[in-house]
Amino acid sequence: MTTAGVAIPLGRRGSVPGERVRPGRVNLRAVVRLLVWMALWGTVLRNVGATVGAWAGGSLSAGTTILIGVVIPAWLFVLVPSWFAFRVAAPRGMRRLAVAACWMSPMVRLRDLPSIAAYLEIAADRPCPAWGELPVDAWTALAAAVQADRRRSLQQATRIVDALAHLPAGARFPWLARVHAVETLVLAAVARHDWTTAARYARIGRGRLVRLLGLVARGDEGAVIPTPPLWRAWLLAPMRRTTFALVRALAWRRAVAPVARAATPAPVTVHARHVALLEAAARNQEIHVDDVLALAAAWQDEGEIGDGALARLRARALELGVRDGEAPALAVRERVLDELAHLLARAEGELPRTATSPVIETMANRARERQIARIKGAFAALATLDPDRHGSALPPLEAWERWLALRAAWERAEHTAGRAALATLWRSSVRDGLWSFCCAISHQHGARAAWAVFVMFDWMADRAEYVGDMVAVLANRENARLALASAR
Amino acid sequence: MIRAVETDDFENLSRAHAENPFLVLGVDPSATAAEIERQGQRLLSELAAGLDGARRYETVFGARARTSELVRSAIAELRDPARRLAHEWWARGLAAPSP
Amino acid sequence: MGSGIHVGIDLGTSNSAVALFDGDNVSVVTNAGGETLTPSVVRVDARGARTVGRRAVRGLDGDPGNTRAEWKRLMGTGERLPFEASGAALLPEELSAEVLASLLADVRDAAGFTPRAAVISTPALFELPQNHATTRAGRLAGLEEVVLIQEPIASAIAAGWRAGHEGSWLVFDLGGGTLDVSLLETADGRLRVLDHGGDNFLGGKDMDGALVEWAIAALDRRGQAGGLADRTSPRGRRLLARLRMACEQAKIELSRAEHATIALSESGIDGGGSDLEIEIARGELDALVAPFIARSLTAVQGLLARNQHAPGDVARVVLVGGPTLMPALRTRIGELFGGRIAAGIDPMTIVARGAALYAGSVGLDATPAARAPAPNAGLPVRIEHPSVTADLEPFVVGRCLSGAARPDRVRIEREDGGWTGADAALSPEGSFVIQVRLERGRRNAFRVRAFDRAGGEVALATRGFAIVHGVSIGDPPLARPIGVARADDSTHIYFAKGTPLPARRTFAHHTVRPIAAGSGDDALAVPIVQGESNRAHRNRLIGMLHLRGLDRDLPAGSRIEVTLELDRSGQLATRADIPGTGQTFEDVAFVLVPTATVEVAERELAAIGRRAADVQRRTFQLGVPAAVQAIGDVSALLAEADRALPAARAGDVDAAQKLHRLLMDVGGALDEAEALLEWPDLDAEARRCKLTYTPLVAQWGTPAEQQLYEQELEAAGVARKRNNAAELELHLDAMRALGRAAYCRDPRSMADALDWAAAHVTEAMDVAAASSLLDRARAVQAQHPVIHEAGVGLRALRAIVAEIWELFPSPPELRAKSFDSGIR
Repeated sequence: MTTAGVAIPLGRRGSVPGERVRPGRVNLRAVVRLLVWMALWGTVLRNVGATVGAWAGGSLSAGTTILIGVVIPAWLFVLVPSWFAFRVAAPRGMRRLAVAACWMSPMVRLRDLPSIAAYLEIAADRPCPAWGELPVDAWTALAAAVQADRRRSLQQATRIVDALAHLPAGARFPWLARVHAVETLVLAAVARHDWTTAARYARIGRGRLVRLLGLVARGDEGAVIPTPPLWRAWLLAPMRRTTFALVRALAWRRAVAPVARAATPAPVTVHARHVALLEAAARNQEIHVDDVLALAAAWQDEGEIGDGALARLRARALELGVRDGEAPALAVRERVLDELAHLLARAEGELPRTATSPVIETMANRARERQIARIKGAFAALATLDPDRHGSALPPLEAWERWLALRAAWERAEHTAGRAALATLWRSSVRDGLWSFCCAISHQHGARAAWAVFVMFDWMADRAEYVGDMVAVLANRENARLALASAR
Repeated sequence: MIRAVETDDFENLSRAHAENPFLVLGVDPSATAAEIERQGQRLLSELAAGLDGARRYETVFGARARTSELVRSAIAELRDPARRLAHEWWARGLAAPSP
Repeated sequence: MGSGIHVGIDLGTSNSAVALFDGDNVSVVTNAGGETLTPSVVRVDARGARTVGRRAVRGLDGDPGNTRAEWKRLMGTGERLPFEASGAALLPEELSAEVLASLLADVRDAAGFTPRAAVISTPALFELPQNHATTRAGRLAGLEEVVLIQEPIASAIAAGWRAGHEGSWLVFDLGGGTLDVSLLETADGRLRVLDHGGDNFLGGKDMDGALVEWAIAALDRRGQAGGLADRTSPRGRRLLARLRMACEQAKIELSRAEHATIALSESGIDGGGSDLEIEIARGELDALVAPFIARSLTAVQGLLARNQHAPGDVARVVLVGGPTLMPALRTRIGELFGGRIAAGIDPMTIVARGAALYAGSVGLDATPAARAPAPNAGLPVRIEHPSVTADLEPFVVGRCLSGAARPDRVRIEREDGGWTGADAALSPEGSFVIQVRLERGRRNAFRVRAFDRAGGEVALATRGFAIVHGVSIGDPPLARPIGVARADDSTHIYFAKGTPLPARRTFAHHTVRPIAAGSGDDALAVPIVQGESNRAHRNRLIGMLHLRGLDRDLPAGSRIEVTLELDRSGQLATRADIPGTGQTFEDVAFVLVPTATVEVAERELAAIGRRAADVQRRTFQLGVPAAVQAIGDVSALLAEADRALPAARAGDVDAAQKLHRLLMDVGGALDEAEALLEWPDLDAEARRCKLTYTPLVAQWGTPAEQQLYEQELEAAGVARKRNNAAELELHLDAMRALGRAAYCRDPRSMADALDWAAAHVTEAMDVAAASSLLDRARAVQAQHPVIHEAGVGLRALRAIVAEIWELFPSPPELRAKSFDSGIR
């Protein structure tokens, strides 16, 4: 039995257990891997040495050279396995070979192999049968993002990317995932000329190609990118043939028509600005609170929604022959306010402490209501699927995605809804409910969900800090530590 | 029965604005009812005859496709004075600037 | 295009009619018996041969097991009507198809060809499944193309299409089964429907029913009603049917005379075979039908009020339907509208004539292709123009379809010589747009001529067309909004009320569940509903779009674009596109009007009765006038539902439908009232929480809790001032939790809790464990008879009580129950 604000039922169901990985088994696999490496490396190095010696001595026959030419891919398989996997095997559809090459690579941990296999299937747009049993980690999260992007669920994809951008220290985000998986995402966005989304994706990526595409995306959005560094980045990056057209188009645009960017006229009327902002939100661009507030101020300043405007509307209604002009006139204003509140609920940034006008106050209220409703909705989706209660296991990836929805709704509300309301929500339902949810997921799936559970507990600790619930901060940091231990 | 869907509000909201009847029909917000009907009938005939010029209409955000269902719906919306009031008000701000 | 013949059909509950329009005049077609009206009655004999119309009517009396009438209310229900002798069980649309086939045969006799397309009228409040059934009936009868039009619009067109009447008018259509009242407006020659109203279960039938009851009562008084002791037996039903027909005759006679006789020869009603006669005066009939007339006028006044019209604003009233011939009804309506009833219109055939005019206005040509005049030799050219318009200078658009040998200029002339247009040059794509001039109020025929560069005339395949100048009618509007049901039980409206048909709209949605590849039917469905409520479950389900057989996984939150398309014949097509996969799901799914099982309806009626009582109590307690208005009709509707229940139990399908419909209406009204009560309720709850929990927290709360409570109280006050429901609820939840925590510390609460648990120990999930815990608690209480606030005894007790709570099925509710009752 919990009492609000005083006691937390910590430890009741035991701390977060991980799957007790039997030490002996892991070591055996690693030992085998090491032995195979040593054997293959030895062979390959001997071959390479012999070939170099023979060439230097000038005593290689044509046949031998050709044979060696055929064998070089095998050398690559051993010498640079991850490059081989992602740049040679995977783009040609040889996914099994790619996974085998990853096994060879020291940059890949054995436990990541199933996730990498799944990622490769998804990236190639093949159905992945065992999606429900997959563990949650950076690879599978990015695979889910790729799938969401392909289905044009941009909101879903950006949520995942955002969560990966704010991983707590200690949560693994393998380098290879940062380079190759994020590449796939960015390429997909660039292919449909969605520069803003591509730029957002590129922020969590590493590697030369991602860097180049990030530059191109920012340049196409309107940032000033000097040309020499652009071409340098292009030279260094892989897939030069594919990216050449893009880079050339950007450079040409910058050279020939630097002011042609302004060809799409900035919206002049406040109506047009309003709809432009709606379209930006529809394209999943980031909109800032200041923009929305400026728009609201513009509506007021131009006298379009004040009492004068209402009177004009009523007069026009009479002219048109509307029987009761009051309701339609009010409805016009209502629509503007409602849409502004929608925008405000979606915008990034802090709301000013005190409302500067009644319009803004109304909007802010509505935006707050909407956000709280959204949090409640996301939380309800979590809570009703508490696996313990229903007995059916929620797959780890789906559980994580539901948490992502809650996270997105909560963090957005942190700016606008105010600490007091969120604190109340936290204390009354979210803290305990989310805690049980994480524990249940951990119980059900053990090590497969450990990475996700660690991230979730760490997030909870941060939120507890925000609302000032110090007991919960301590408890959740401890839980996170335990989860991290079992994720290792 | 599993209920399926939520809505992408922003996309639908901005679509509703882009399909403003005055924009679809290409008439001035101060047009009379007779002018609206005449223009609407003309567009329906042009679309039925397959004229290319009738297939797109201009807004501040670029050209959009015009279909006969849109035109019919626009004519009906503007016949209702209460709805016309709202559409007029938005159209004043959304019509493409004349070249 | 302009020289075609257009057919309109009125498919009525009791009688049907068909009319033709040739561009200038409308005429009603007479059937083989020389009458303009064909009764909607079908008889199937033992060999399966079907008879329709007047000859079948005799079967109603002599052979009721094989004759059916008045099935219109059952259209779209999937209810099969049995025919004993032949063993056939026919759907209502199949019966309608028989009637339609007979009418089409009459047209063949009159005009020399069987129509290939027609406009059929339907009641304004028919929903999609019912409209769909009507279209199916037309197809079954052999029509290639069917367009539907609402009866009030048809009546309005027929009444006003030539005359220059402007202003608002009312169409009052009282038929055999339904009352349809429509408010229309003609402005600048354009006809527009403002709103519909009516009563789906009020008609001549009900008035006949009242008369029948009166007659039976009269016979009973005379001791002559022995044969009707058991009305549900086959013999009883037959006798009742005969009595009903006789009453209907008498009622019709009373429209013309002051007295009439209900006469039955060799009826058998008295148990014997003697003739029966009952005298009835017009005054007695008026008294019997007065309640029905009053109900119909209530519907009229409701419609006017909803649209901010007073009876004085209505310029004309058009009466449609047989029962409107009753003098009592005409008098009352005349009183209400100051006598402005449109005269000179035959109420029985007006709908058919309007349907034919509408067919003309949409250019629906009934002549079959074989009979169409052979195209002239010449260049193919496509000419588009409105068929009927109020505009005196409409545009005509044309396009030459062949690339080569295009003429240089085109000229249009009016055939009567009254107007000739200027020559127009062809555009690069071979098109031309010319503004023509019409002569007012008639069919205008035009000639198209083309000339080459040299000035020589070029022959065209299409040489002429016609435009009728009359009232321009908008596309028929949708009566009830159609939309998609969302996961949170809200409705996303695709077609609002009044949307002109045909219509098509697309919106983007997101899935809320993941779907695995290759899953079956129940993986994910998009429900399509029709109705005015915001809550999806209160609207009628008219279709389901299934997403099945996906070739790859679809994660939750995937975007899908749903397109709904509705055409003039009531067909709904649905489509879902999943971008990125290129997969499309199409379904033309219809759900039949649900046949309510009476048991379900009875349970629902009981539940709704309780809910209504609760809502009424809260409404009066909180004193919200808008809510009072919303539930005003609820008591009357519930009373009516109670009246319909016994008939429904006895197997009357009609009564069952009515019951179902009434329950939906009551549910809707209660929803509306509850929505209006939400804020007052919450406000009152906030005050109650404050009063209840503040002293508790002050007395028993820890300092930390007290501080939190203060904060929550203040925040709740702010939320109340801002009228922000979500925030207020949030803070009230917190206050409640804090209050209960404080109450827990009160030693008396422990004793209360233990007493409650002892009283309900049998409800525990593990009774043995609960009992042992209770024993331990009693032991502790015996040990520490005086419970101190911070004492050992209290902590032990609290721990035991906590464990006991876990054994009960739904702790929160129980906790609330016991705490609430424990508060003094």
